[in-house]
Amino acid sequence: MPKVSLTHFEAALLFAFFTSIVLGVVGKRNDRDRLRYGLYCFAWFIVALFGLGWVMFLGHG
Amino acid sequence: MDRAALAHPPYTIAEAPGQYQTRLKLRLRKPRDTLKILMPFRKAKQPTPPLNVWAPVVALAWLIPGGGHLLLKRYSRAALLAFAITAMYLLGLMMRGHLFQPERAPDLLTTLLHYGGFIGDLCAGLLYLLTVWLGYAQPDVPGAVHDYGAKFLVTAGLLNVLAMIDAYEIAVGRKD
Repeated sequence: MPKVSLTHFEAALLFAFFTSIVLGVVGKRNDRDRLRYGLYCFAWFIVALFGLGWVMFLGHG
Repeated sequence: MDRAALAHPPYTIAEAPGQYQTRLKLRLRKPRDTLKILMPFRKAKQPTPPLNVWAPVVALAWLIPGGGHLLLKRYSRAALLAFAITAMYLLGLMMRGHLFQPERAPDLLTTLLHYGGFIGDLCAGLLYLLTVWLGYAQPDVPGAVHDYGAKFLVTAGLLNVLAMIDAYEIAVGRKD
């Protein structure tokens, strides 16, 4: 098994991507809503990622 | 009176529409039931579907991510679930994530973390079983990438639980 070394951002981006796919698939009842919900979840993951990143940056001083 | 208003008692019997009036009167036959009208109405309990309808689907959904949907002929959803969960699990392994063991620790929080993590890992089904059978034994070492790896492994299992629930709902006809 090859070893990968990702940055925080890359790992969080991949986490958001795969989680959003599953949430989109199981979350809604038709394909259009599934796509929209998947993109919605992904967008919120990214917003949270940048938001928490800034909070930690500013909190760290 | 609509359902939203019915969910926020108190209200009088006269205010409730026909079917609710009947239910209210039935509930008021016993003195202690008076309090029940202050509680929101619950949905009637649905009968439990037969085991042979959903058990093979849920078992396959646990064993193979997306397998339940495949058995129910939801091919595109099965492919997406299989791709997302398997990719997440494999990335967790490639990041050398730690697999949790059900072991006791000196404090309760760490014990809960070990048991919860183990259940999360186990929910990945065949991916987890193969990993263990093939001798993967990554120690819990400090480091951001290892830590992300462990989270990827547990999350893949938890996402598989969501897939199992979805497959169950499709199998019993609550969802298309």
